Amino acid sequence: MESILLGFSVCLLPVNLLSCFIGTLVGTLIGVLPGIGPVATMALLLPLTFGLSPVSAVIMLAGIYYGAQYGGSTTSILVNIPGEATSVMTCVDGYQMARQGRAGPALGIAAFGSFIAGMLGVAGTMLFARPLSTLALQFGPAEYCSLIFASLMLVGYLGGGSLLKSSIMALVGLLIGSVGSDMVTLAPRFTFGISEFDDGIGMAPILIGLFGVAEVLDNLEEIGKQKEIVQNKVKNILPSLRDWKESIGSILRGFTIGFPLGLIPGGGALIPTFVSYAVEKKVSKHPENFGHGAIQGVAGPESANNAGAQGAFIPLLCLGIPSNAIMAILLGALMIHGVKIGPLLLSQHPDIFWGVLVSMFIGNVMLLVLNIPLIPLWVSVLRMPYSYLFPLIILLCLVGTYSINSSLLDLVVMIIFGVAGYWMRKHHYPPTSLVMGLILSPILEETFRQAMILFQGRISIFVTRPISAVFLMVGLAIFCITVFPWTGSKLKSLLQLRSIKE
Amino acid sequence: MMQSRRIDYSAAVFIALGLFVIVKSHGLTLGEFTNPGPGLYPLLLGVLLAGASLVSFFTSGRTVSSKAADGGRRKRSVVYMVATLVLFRILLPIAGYCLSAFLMLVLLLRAIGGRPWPRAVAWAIIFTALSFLLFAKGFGVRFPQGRILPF
Repeated sequence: MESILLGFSVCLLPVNLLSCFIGTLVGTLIGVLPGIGPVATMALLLPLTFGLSPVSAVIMLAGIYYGAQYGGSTTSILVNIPGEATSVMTCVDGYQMARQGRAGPALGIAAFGSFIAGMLGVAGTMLFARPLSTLALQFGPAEYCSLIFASLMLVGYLGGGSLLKSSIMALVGLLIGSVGSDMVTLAPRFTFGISEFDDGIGMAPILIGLFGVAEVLDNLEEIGKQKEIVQNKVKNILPSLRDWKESIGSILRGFTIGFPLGLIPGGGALIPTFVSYAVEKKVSKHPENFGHGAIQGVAGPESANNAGAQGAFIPLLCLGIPSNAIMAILLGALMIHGVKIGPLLLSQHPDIFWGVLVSMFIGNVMLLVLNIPLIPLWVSVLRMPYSYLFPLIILLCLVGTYSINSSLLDLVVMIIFGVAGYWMRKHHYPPTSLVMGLILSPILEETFRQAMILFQGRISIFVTRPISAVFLMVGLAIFCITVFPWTGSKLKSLLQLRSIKE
Repeated sequence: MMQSRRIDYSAAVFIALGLFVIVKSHGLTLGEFTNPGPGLYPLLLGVLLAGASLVSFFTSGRTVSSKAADGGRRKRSVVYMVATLVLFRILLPIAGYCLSAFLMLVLLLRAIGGRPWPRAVAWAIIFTALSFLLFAKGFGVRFPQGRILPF
């Protein structure tokens, strides 16, 4: 109880309230706008948080993340274009409801469902935080190495696409993260004589290039396309009793699906939405309504994506391991502010830990208040043609990058990674894994070197220590089964043989 | 035009990168596993990268579908965009922020956005002015002073 009160005392400071408000407002705005996502926006705002305290910075950046979940549903329902990937399923029934003149109830139930799931998610995080942090205190450097390996495999596997290409991206990210002065000897590594690279290649220019510039390059075909925005006046935003009766089950199921999936590296807010939609259709007494404006098809996925977004904070705050690119940016932000994140965060920086958790509670209230009355504003924002939007995004990318260190080299890095990011998208290499590798590289190297020194260079330590062995096996199993599918069928036959013998 | 292939030529980039890292890492102190030097970690990563990329090269090829009708126009837009960004970078220390941003925005709005000249110029002025006020005056970002305009 004292911890929660500490959290409120931190979060209710005017600067933190303002940070939360700015984060959630900006997050909702970019969630509404297709063409720029929360990762690029967080990267753009990252330099602006340097003047804030660590807790204010994380509160603002976290607000962008879960704000974007709310905002993405608006454009899904009104335009049938998901503002964020996590709002894809909302398009299916949400847009149909809008076409039937029920845009208001769709938007309303999406906002309220997200709010309820968000609140439950915050409560769940508070519940899990202490036991998980206590467990993580038993982790040594070998366990952390193996956990990072398993996380990278999970992120690649759950992200869809080729795990091999995802692994390649993770390795590239780890290599980019190793550029700079060696942590022990201070010998320059891969700096090519450029003194600005002595502290490593800046994270923000890479992120802005990969997710801001590359996204714009990829979306150039949107220019000139007419968006069909539902013209009916949006009314009856507050759900009726009947809407609540039809949706409450979906909202609670969405939470129970989203929250545990959000805990898993790679889970985040995306996968829960697909699972939730499938479950809702399965349990519904009228599955034929799905795809034609079933309110459960909006309530379930929207709750699931918010619950997943909340759950994704747990590995970061309790273990110091980000479960997706957004959490990786939050980790990077805390590292820049000199905060060492891990299981000791709870004991060493309780103000940051509980402040961020309570800010999610306050942020969810702000989002509910913002989203309901500001819907007409979001609709008018949606009408802005992409041909005006993309130059603005590019300008923000350039200025945001330059503002970090007033460095022209950072602009070059941004442009190079922008082009590289576009090329990677065309050849199906996921940038998320690169970002995870980039942020985790210093941690991985430090823990690897510590493990080697502590255990006299014995590589076998990664398999002889039980927790490390479990993480390693999980990662290897995912890699082998995905990259070499015959291992999966071999394993299946072995298990079948074993069960026959028993 | 449909063609089916198993070779993923894009992986060649990463094979080359992996080999480069392996070679460069040998120029650093590798140390031993009991006391790793600065070169050991990137060497291991380089070996893994080269290996994974080699496997991907032979196994990750996709069936290539026929090219989109406007593929050429889209490539041109991408090239214009990148050229504009490079132009901004070159002009920034010479012409200052406002002129560089204005020129870049006019080119983007006109050449890629397809806006008529008067609108492109008008919106470029508005976006430049707003961004200058927000970042230079609001957030205190210090842009280079141009030789043509002082801001």
